[in-house]
Amino acid sequence: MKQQTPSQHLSIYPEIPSSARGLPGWRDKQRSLPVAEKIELIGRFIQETRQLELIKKSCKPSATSSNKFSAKGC
Amino acid sequence: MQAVCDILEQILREGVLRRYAIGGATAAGFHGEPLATRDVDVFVFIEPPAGALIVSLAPLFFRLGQLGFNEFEEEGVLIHGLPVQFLSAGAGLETEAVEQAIVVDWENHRLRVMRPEHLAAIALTVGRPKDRARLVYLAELQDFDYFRFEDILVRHRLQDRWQDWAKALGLSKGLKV
Repeated sequence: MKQQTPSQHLSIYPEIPSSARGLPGWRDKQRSLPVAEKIELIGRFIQETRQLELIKKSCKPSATSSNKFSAKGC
Repeated sequence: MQAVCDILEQILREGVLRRYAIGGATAAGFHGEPLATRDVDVFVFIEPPAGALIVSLAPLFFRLGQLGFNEFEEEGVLIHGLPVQFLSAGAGLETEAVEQAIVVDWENHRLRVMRPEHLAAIALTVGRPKDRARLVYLAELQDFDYFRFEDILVRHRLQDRWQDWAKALGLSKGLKV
């Protein structure tokens, strides 16, 4: 078992996996990903977020529709 | 993203940048925070020309333009399709965060990213709701270095703010900064 420093001992959740704290297990997976995969994942996420924002911006409020946005592409 | 790291390293080698480190949500995501960003924040030092009173990012954008990255999207310049926002590192905490950034090497690539303890301290100084959420995530990291964090809080006089936030966020247990 890893020896704790005094500071770590004082931390809130020392040496407890996130699943045991009720936090999603994907956080452990995300942290333990190899750097290349992590970097790839971050880049892909940012690009997809950006594309979603561009789609949202392309949606114009429709004057004829009762929906907030027109049906065109939205 | 790998290509963005390569460009940052290239302009560092060329001397256009004196130092840089990725910060903000991208850096927090690298350390384990759920990703919630649409651009990459890069904090930079640029050597000002002799006698200059103002640090300008113009040489950086000029070089990026030469490399073919001329397109902007909101505050970010698009580098290989990713908006990258360059921010001049402020004196004090941000400067220290850039100077002490973690250098990560993989394959033939390199990334310089702010440490979680500095990101947490910067979150304290910024103070938006998302910074509070970030502080919770970062402080829960198993490898979050509380010695380093306490030292940062003391040197940048953030102890009182930490105490307030830690109490409000339920993070105060055992920390005696």
